[in-house]
Amino acid sequence: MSSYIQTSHIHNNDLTDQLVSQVQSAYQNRQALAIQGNGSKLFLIHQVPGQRLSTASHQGIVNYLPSELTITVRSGTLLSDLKEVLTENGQMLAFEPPQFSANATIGGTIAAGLSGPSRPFTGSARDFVLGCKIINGRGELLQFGGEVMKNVAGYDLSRLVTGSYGSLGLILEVSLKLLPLPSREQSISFPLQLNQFAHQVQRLLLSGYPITAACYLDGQAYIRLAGSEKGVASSYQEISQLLSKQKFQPQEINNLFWSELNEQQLSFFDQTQPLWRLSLPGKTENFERYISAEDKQLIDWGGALRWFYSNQSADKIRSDAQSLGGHAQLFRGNEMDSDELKNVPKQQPLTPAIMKIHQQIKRAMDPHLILNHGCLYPEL
Amino acid sequence: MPLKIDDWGIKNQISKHELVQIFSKIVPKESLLYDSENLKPYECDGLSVYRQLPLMVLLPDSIEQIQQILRVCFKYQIPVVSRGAGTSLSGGALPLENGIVLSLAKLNKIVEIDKDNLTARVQPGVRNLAISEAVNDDGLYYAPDPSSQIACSIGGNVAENAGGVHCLKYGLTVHNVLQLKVITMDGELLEIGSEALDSPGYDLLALMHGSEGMLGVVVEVLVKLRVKPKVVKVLMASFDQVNSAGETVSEIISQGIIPAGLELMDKSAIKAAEDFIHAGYPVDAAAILLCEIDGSLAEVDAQLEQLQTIFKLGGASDVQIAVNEQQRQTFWAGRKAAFPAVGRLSPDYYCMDGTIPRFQLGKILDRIHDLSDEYGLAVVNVFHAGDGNLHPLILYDANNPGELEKTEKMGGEILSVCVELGGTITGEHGVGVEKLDQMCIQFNAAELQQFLDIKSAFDIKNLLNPGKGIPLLHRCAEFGALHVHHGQLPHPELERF
Repeated sequence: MSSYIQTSHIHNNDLTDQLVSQVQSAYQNRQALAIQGNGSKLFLIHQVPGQRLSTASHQGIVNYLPSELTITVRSGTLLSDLKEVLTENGQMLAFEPPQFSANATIGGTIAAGLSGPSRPFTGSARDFVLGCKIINGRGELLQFGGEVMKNVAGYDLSRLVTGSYGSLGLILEVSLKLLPLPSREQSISFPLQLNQFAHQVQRLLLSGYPITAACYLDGQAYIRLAGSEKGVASSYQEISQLLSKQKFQPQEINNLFWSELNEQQLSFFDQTQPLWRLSLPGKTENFERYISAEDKQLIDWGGALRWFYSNQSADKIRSDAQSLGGHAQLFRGNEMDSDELKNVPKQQPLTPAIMKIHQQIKRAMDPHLILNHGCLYPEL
Repeated sequence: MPLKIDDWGIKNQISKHELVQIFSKIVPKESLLYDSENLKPYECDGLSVYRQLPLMVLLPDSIEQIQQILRVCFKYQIPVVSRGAGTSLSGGALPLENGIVLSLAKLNKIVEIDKDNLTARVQPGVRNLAISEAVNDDGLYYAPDPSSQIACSIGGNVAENAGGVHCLKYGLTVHNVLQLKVITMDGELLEIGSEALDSPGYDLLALMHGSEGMLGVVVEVLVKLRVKPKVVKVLMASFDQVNSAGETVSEIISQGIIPAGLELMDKSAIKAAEDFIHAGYPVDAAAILLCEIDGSLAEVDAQLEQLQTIFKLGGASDVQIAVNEQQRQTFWAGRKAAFPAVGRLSPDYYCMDGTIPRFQLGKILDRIHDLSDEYGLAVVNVFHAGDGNLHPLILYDANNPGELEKTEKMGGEILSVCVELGGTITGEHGVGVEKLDQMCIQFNAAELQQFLDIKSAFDIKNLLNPGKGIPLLHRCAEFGALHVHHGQLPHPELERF
């Protein structure tokens, strides 16, 4: 029988009542609120007017039964603390959320909805969200979803809130699906032509290898395998032999490579141009034609994500991404002129029809537009 | 069986005769049904205890036709019930007396299979299994596999966020769809999601899944295809006590194994299936676990070894591994035929769909047992044990006056217990018209009002499948389960009808 895990080193501090009354009074006074955790992902959104309201002290694990593969946690809990507890129990957040700062909270992680290198293979942040407790823009305490894997009662507002940067509700608690930590992870790197990368990844996938990450940088492909001891060992050996036979000269690399990629600590991320995040269909072969000589890119997600340093205009980058079936997000302005940075939308513009639905959803959740108004788009 | 449908106050602004005239200019004659004889096949879905003839049925064959139909309905306030294959088990596609049924059966083409990106673009009327069949030779498949997959359509799968046997490892419909084309009630065509793995803005793609046809009409679906695993093995473990089987499920997960499928059947389910299919099930056992694992040969071998130890330590009296593909299919055949097998035991059965945290399995089975005694109705239990989704089948005879009502009452009580034990009233069948009262137990008034506001965000006149999925607050008040926080109704300024 499973038992509740006592987690002494995580503070247990329930600020629900206080946060509810703060949002309620903001609703009554039409006072704009700038909701955040510890602010580690603030660089991803536009500056929000209003009174700062932090969830950072609202901490603690509400429920954790490892055998259920779920955890319910208060939003201010540090991501690093949460990961530590999960690791102690042989489990993990399989969407590999980046922290970008030691004080990142789980609330901010879900509000941002970012996923790491494993995303195309194991799923995204929203895929692992099972339920949430939020305060909507009327100051109402609402609970959606739950702590079970399958749940179709009511609309899936837990996943809608994921990635909405607090603009639909202040996240109080989230319930997440967990996965067991793999017994073994092993990574391999080999030289490869860029136009062969997506194809090669797919070949390996079709051969049934347990791939959990695949990226490409500076003429080298990087692949991570994860699973049981025996399963990964034999897959690694087979891939290694296969590549050697094709004269690819594979070499084993340290698994730390992936967290350095995820946290943008590889030297690739030291560049000074604006950094764009391009989400494109996995097999996008024509992208290279849009690249100029000074541009630099790292391809992740087996081809579906590009970290792109470029001084090309935002409009050009956006229209290129769109013409390829994807979208572009201005991730870090870096040396971008500060006026320009203020004026360039961070997110790809939405079509009028989709924007209209967004506005109606925003009003349904936050009729006075007091929650992180304008953080993604000025209209929301 | 009389059904209480909430009155959403929708009044048609046009006569049936005039409406026929208008629609006959949009769709060909044979795609417009309005005589009661022709409407009869549409009077119910998979939940056949409830029947209602619609005003008319339309079978458009293009996106443009659907847009035109919806614009007409929007203008004249005609409720619209979308229908795929009509296999819903919760009455999601039950017609409304003053509404049309919009059948998507003619939109049944696989538009494109993209082997490079491992996706298939399909129309909503394509059957779930047809996708996997179309890509079988390429070593690919579409993962979600509701038990009705031979018949149910992908549009309906999106509307219900359909699950199946392999959800724990491979996810629900929402995890396996990249993009939808959706038409809103005012006729606007929206592209939600994309060929990329994410999209800017709110996650409308997730919101559409499981929205039971209340937010938009799904007219195209881009699904993810998966690579078929190289090796698949099935183990069948017998237990003398149901609780040991339940605890073994937890142990498997705790040991870091995520089986592709993990099903539990109780004694009555084992017997019913064995009598029907002769799958070689141990009829003396109190419960069996069917556990499927897949992956590379080395991966599967490693897990097989681990599982045998877990089963032994968990008190299994017998463990069998299917020796070949034929035996594997036979093991599964019993489970897959559980419902029809139960159909042989009783004139009628009522299938429930609660989900609980797995560790509560023993408790819920005890409570179901007590309720079964109290109501004098036998229950057979099959259980997607890996994800906590329980399907108790209540046996009854509709010819006995009052027995269906008694069955529904007992079913409602089972679902209330699921909520009490930390679970939910529906794992994969949806709320439909069936579980509206139980929605009042699971959600408080403010939460229900938030759902209603979200519906209005897409459908300002509330014309898409009104009366399904979300109860009106006055219904909950009458049901006696409206949870009002601090005695205050949300939006006191709003009229309640």
